[in-house]
Amino acid sequence: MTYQSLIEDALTGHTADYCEVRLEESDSTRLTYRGKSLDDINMTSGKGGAVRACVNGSWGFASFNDLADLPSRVKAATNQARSLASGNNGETTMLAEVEPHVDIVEPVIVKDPREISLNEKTRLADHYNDIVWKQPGIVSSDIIYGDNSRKVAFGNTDGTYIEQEVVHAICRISAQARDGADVQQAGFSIGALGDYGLFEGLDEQVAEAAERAVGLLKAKPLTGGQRTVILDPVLAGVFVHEAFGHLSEADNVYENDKLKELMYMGRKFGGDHLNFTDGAAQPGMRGSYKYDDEGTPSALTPLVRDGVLVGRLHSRETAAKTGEAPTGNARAINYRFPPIVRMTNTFIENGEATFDDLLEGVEDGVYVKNWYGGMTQHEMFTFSSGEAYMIRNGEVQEAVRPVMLSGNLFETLENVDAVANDRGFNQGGGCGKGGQMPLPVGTGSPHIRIRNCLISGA
Amino acid sequence: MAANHEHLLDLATSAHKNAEVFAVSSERRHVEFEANRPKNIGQSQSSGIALRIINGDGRIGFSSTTDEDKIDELVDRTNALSEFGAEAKFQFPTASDYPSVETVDDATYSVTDDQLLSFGRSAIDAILSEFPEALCAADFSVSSGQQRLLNSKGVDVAHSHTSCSFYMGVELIRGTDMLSIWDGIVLTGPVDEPNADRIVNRLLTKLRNSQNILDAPSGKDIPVLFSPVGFNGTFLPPLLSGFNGKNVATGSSPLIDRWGEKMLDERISITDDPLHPMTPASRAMDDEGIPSRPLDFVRNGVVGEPFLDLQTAGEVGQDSTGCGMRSVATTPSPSTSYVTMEGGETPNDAMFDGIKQGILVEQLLGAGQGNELGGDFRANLSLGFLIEDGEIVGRVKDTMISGNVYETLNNVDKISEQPETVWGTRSLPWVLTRGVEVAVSQ
Repeated sequence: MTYQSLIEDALTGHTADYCEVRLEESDSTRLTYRGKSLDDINMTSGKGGAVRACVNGSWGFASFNDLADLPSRVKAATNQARSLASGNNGETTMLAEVEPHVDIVEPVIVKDPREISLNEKTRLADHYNDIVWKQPGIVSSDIIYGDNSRKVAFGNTDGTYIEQEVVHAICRISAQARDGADVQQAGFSIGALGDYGLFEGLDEQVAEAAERAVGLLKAKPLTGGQRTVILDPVLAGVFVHEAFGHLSEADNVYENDKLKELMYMGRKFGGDHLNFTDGAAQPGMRGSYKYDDEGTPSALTPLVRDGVLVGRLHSRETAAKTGEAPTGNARAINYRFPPIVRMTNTFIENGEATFDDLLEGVEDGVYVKNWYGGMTQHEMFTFSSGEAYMIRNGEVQEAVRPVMLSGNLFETLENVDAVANDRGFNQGGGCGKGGQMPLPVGTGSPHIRIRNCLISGA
Repeated sequence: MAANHEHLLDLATSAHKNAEVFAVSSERRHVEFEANRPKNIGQSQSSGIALRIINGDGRIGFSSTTDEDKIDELVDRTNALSEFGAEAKFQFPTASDYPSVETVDDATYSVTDDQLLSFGRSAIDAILSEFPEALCAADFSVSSGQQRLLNSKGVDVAHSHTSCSFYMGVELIRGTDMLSIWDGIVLTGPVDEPNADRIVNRLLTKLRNSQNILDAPSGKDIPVLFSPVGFNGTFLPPLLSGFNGKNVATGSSPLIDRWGEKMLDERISITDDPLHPMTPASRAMDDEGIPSRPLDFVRNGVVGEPFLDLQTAGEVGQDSTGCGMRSVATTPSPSTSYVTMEGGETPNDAMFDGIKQGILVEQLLGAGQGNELGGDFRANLSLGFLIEDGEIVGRVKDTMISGNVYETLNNVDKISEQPETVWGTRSLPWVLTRGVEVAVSQ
């Protein structure tokens, strides 16, 4: 039986207000180098499914590897939702209208990683590892290359049936240098949709990371406190994801009246040069897709225009409950999880300044590049640079130890006082939320400058 | 699928002399509350199987699947991968006598959805009765799992475990301040009322202590007190990375060549104890069939031994310490179980005594983004308090801490007598330190 008929049969005669079935197949390959040699090479195939049912606003969810007897999974999820709903008096199921679609979406492929032999993948990883180890002072290295394909068949009780496949490739390379108990590391993380090419031609970047790791042993740590910082496009992308993106996910807001009062449409968050957008409809990035995991078509959603809040990210439920339009941001990392509101590709739009304009007049600041990570808890956020350089008298000078930056949504955005016109993209990130990690996301931003940004000591 | 395990092992063994099959299956049920109301209820069934071989050239092949129809393909695929695999620095072990440790409570999976829901409702009611404007989220789950390990040297061991977890988060918004506090526990047996009450009471205490927002002092000479949860989040990740067999084998651990040396305060003793009964990490053997045993990471400030799986043990020329853990989709890697730190000299309720002005660290935001491998820690305090004259006087915000674990844990003022359980897999005391750098946004 085809997935389509399996799903249609399972949903026939359902008794929920709404029900959906997802069946998935996945294949992944991963190479890990640790130190001088290959540590792990691994191929995993997966198959599983999930059913989600809504009754009077309560959700029942079942996930499974055993795909036999789907109709009973539908019944079980529906019954659970119904029993939960019996304790929620007066709730009703509210889901934004989405026109039913029947579609088959082929994966975006630039250079198919699945068609590259293991021989070639290991040859290239060996080659990069050799470059790392050519640098004197390196004590260890990590190289991770991975590709995976995920094919999802999705059907719901509104008549939507979609088969959609995505292929991702990621690569992380880091080099470690040690002096006694002082261990420093430097590296980078990149990703691409359907393109093995991301793993090719990295010689220069790899050599530079190894050199930087050794250089960091001599770099001085900064004292913690507030400084002017200039973020490169990679780190500024992490900044918009952490500092603003998470709070524009409507599941944080739709049942939280106090937060609604703070995050109201039309609120001014900063200068007119602030323009933020999120969307999976931006083609060819790791957060790109045609339909989300509820079958809603993707979009490009303006979040901030001229410093003013103008939009947020939705699932069908959060859209209906806030009276806003669905944006196609309901995503599940795989069949073990229900879709929740997530970012896709998040952007700071170009401003008018140049990088030199940003540097001008900075007497004692820090130029931060590249990323280690970032986290958000409501209005508080932190994010970490992979590189940091002193800025004195408007010039980028010596490297210092990488720093962690921290801020507060309601203050830090107002302190972004300049946005450059040199947007760059980063696709090496994976986002975590509700136990679902790492979800492929992309970011894009020009250089930005933040006044009075709190940085940690190191 | 049980019959398939032997069949797969036979197939793989006939192709190669050395093979190992690892199979898991589990069930889980959970209920979730959002915005003070039950919102989601779910169940999951999962199963999978992994094959690992050492081929004729001594190279490792590994592959896994959750698709029953693809089990027969595993042998060919694993074989093909082994051509590129890492050189095996070990042999699969033979069968051993395993210690006995309790890991199952039959009552756990019998807890009904209705019971989970009623627990959640009463916990949320208790918070709302004192803080009616709070928004609570909660997640209760019960799970039951089995795994089986077979290898060509005659190991055939099964391990079962149950667990019950309860997490609760409370959010309170006042002006543009968004306070978010969480707590939780994982047990082998069912979470009972006293356990749930303890978590609710801890949350209430933190909410009460958060009513004023005060300015934190900044600098490097402020006494910083770590609660067991704060200690866990701040110090254990950078510290344990130094003991991790992977980092030891590659030479990137700062502890290389320093085993047996005194590196931390002499009152500090930290042990990993998989034989501690009825914790979510209790186990008689690891996922490679090596008997479990307690490991001293630090004894009276002296660094003891790393945690190793078979491969990393082979790389450093030692025996596995029984710490090879894995999910079905990954090869084993060194991992800890139940990490405990011994209590010290100060009664728990006297830990605040004598602190003129200091900071209490509870929850961190962004820990682990820095250079953990070198022992560095740094994070924003997502929940921290100002201590004055031995009392908590309010909450601090927009405050970051940073330092290095090997320096800070040599600069310890006081350690509490009684360790407390953290998230079910740690048992840690309160620790008062000096020399942590505190940076504050003005």
